[in-house]
Amino acid sequence: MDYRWYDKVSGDDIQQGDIIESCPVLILPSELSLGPSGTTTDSQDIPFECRDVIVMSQTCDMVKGKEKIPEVLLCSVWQKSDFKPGERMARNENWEKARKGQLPGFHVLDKCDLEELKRDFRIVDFRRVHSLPLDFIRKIANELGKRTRLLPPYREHLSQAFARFFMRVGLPADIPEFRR
Amino acid sequence: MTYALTQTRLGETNSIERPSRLQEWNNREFLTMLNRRCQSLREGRFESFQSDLATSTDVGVIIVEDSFWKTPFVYIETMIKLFTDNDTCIAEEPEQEISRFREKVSCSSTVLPISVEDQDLLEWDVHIETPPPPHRSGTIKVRFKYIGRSKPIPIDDPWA
Repeated sequence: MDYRWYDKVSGDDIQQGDIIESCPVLILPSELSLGPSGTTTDSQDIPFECRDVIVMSQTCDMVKGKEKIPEVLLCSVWQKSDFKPGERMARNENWEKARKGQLPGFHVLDKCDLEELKRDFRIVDFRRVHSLPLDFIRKIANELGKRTRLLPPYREHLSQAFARFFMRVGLPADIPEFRR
Repeated sequence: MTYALTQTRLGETNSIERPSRLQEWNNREFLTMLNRRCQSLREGRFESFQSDLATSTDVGVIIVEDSFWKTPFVYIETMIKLFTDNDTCIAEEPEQEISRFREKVSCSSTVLPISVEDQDLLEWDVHIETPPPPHRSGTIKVRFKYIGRSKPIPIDDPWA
């Protein structure tokens, strides 16, 4: 039985689990002020970054011709090798914690051995979420050529981890611990 | 681990039941493995971050000589403290006295600083403060123009 994590795809078909590398995302500066009219007379310098992102929106909402969402939900993804030695996420013990699900804000993806798409282990950051128009993502994906798609059941596992993180509830007054 | 150490000590303290050479070799291999773990502890490789768990570990090595062999014994004391939000401290002392070796040397069991319960802890607040540098970055000139509130995508018949 085949338990592959990834598939190599191309074109503008977008599914949950698609990894879009070097996707431009806008980082709106905190000092940006639009005023009550919401319109600016002068042009503003808005920073952007090209990040690797993974599609979190449901596949059935992005079927061509039957789109049910205008914008796609994306999460930032980093490769293990992106972290410099000395950084917390460069340590194996923290990757191990994330792998075991002890860090609910993250999700670890296996390394990719597909030809032309060999990548290190990756970590999905549920705290860095972006939203971009579906048509824009289709265009970016199409221009990328060959790209990586996370396959079931790993993509559902990712989606479940995201849901678990997003739906967390912090209690204002917890039940005291039971002592031995 | 505790069982293996107990076996070692019981075998050695009983003068009639001396271990075989194979058993001795196994014991030495086992102790060598423990020493490697001790070294890891000394070098702080078990460091965690943003955790409420505090561990204090005292590691020592005792060389025990016999007429047949000379073996280093490890001596580890581990204190695990879990600080809770209401400022109470739950401490656990997993140290266990197994037996005394030749009356002079006190021995204790080896306990790893991470217990099964600790592994179940979820660290909700761990985050990446500074993400790795982007592949490419820059600025774009943008003029914002208000075009009114967006509307949901019309669906003809969601039940069709």
